[in-house]
Amino acid sequence: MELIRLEDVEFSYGDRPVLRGVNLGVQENLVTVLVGPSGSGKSTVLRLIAGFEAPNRGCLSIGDQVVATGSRVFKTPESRGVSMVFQDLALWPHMTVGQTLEFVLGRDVARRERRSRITETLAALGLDERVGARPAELSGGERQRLALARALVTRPRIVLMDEPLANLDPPLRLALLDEIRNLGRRFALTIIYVTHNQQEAFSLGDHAAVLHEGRIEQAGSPRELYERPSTAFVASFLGRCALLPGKFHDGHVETALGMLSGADGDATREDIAVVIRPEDVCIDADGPFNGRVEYVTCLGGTFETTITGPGWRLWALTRDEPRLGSSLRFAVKKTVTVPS
Amino acid sequence: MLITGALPLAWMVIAAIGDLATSGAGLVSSRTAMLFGNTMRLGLVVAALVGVVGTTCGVLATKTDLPARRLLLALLTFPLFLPPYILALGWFTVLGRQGLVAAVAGGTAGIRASDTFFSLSGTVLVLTIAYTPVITHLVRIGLRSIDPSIEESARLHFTWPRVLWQVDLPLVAPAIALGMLLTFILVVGEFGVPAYLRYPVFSGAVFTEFASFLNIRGAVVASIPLVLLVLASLAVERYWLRTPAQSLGRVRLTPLVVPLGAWRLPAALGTWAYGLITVALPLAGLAREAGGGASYRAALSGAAASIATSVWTAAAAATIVLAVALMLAYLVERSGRTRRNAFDTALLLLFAAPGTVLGISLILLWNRPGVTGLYTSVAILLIAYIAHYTPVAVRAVGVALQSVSPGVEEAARLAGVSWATMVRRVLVPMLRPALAASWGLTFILCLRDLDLAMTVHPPGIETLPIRVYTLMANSPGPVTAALALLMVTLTGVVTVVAGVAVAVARRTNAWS
Repeated sequence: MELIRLEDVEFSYGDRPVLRGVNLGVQENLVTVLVGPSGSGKSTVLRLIAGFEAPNRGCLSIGDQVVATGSRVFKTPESRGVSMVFQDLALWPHMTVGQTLEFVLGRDVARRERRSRITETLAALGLDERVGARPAELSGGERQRLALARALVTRPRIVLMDEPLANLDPPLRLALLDEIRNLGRRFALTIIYVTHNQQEAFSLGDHAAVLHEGRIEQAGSPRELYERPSTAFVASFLGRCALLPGKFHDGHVETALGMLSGADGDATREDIAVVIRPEDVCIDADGPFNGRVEYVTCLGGTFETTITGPGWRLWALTRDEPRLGSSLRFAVKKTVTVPS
Repeated sequence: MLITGALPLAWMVIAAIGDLATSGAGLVSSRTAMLFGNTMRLGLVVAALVGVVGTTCGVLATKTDLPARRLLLALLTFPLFLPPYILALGWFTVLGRQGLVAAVAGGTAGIRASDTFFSLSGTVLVLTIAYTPVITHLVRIGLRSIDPSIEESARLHFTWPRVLWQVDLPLVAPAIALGMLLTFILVVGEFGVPAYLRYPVFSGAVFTEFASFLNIRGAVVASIPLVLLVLASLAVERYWLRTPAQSLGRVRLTPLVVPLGAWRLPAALGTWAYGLITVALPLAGLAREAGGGASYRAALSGAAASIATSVWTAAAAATIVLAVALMLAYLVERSGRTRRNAFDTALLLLFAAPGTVLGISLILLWNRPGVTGLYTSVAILLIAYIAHYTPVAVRAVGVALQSVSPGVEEAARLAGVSWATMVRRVLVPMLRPALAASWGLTFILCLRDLDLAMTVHPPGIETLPIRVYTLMANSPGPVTAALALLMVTLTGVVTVVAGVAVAVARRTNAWS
């Protein structure tokens, strides 16, 4: 069931347009990831849902209620049942962990209920030993957990997360991604998670939308976006790929690399590009294509090998480290076409 | 700074300790107790009022959608640039026996208003108006440095009044406390207003010992309680108000504005009324008292030399102060934490030292054979200004210097540039707006100074504030009022010119 709906939403800061007709549906109890480059409008979508900004045009609904339409706002931020984890965390430096959670729960929640919620939330986030600490006394990971605890303790229906893990080192980021996923399930949350990191998008998102220059470029499951991108931008933004300009010809696509078969896509279009992912390139002594090893990057257990030929360049994943400048034969397992 | 400020104060402390045995008995008396009580009462009441009024004005002018906020802020700030005794004179034209109140409400009301004015109440009124802008601006700076997302994270749960009360105000509380403490220090050292309004305090007693009885030793001993009060206040600032930086992340530049809704009109009327009553009313009173052009001509003809002396000494002092401040700010900001704290404390002590006390310490040091040339020339005035006002400029330049990454200097050093060239070609252009602002601020502080100039000025050299203050007691009201208005105009012109210079420097530094 759709919990949040944006219809033809437009928004600008002064005369600089940020969102140009965004349509997005957010499913209840799922994690929706908004992914896109800096300045694409991801954070603005969150700020509109939170109620910090009003759309210039279009309609925004939460549940069965229209909360803003045109430039009219019907529900203020505090009445939308939304929590948010900010990129810079926005912790209150003068309050301890306990005071922060007490503060957001307010006096409307009965004292006993308040205590039990705070205890449960702190335990869930591993902060039960740090109740009396102020943000400045917490480590980076603990601050992140406090920001999460503050967002969750009010039992919101919707949690907005604006690149909350952007400043963390990779191991801590991965650990917290697991925690967010588990907390989402445990508290039945509808999460909208903004990131420009495709790894976060794939590991967290049940659903994803790619934003580019204020428009939703494509929406779907992360796997669908990765495997069947609808534009060259989505294809290249979500992971390393070769984009080879080509033309459909008798069910095949003619490219600088040669004829490629089995390409998904719109065969009626004239100008297309073939998307080839590294994992779809197989090093094979009997393969139909031949190229020169230009560069090799160690990825740990595998190597990413840059292979070039006349008018093309692509990437392959190899177990063994190929020699620079050597010739390599390969096959292409799978391709998809996008408008060029 | 060592020669101009620290050495004289140290010399005075030694002299005071030496004299304590002979004249110290005079310190333990009912008069001392009365002066101490009055000084404390005045300082505490003004600090408390300034805290409440300044915070309210700061919040309204910074966080809300009041109409014409910039203009309102300029109006609320103006008293800071006026010498407090000019404000006192202005209020005298309103609340005096022949003032505006008497003209509107009759002679009896005028007498009652005048009696109230010439007491603690009048002194509190004038000094509260004079120092409220200190807290208004500290609150404004504090509020503008709060990351808006800190407020937004609270807005998801609460309405604006609660966010202001429980998030914003606690975060600016250290700034409010600092402003109140600073006000307390400035008020207990204030000589001009309490003396004019006949409210006996320590600074007046020190000046009387020195100027009326020509008893410099007595003045030194009388300064002891005042110095102890200031030292105690400084200790509070050093040990209790040194809070670590509150920001835990990057700060967005545009502060959030609270919509006042139905309260916008009443709040605007109230704030504008406060601004107009506290600033425009006393100035209108002065204009009414001054009357026609004859008073202005008479004031100008007698004060031309004083105006010239004031302007050139203030300009010269501001220029020297700026050069010294740049060097000291660099030392303070780029040295280790312990050394930085020591520097900072010493500088703060020089600024906090009451003008009369610092003036007497300078006389004690320089009024001796061999260096009388300095003491009897305008040089002593310049030394006094430099000693007293350099710390303000060091703070202003230091804050700007904190925003310059040390990497900027390190890159220049790696390129083989000398330290002096790096300062001239890298730091000075980057700090241009702060340097312009510091020069303007120092110029205005020197221009309006009374306590220090009154104490150290050599015979035959008279600044405009000294002239105005002398005329306040001895001349016809219209000429004094006209001269006071000329002083206000001069201050206003300098403020506007300094403001324009800072704006131009900011524009040329738009890349920063």
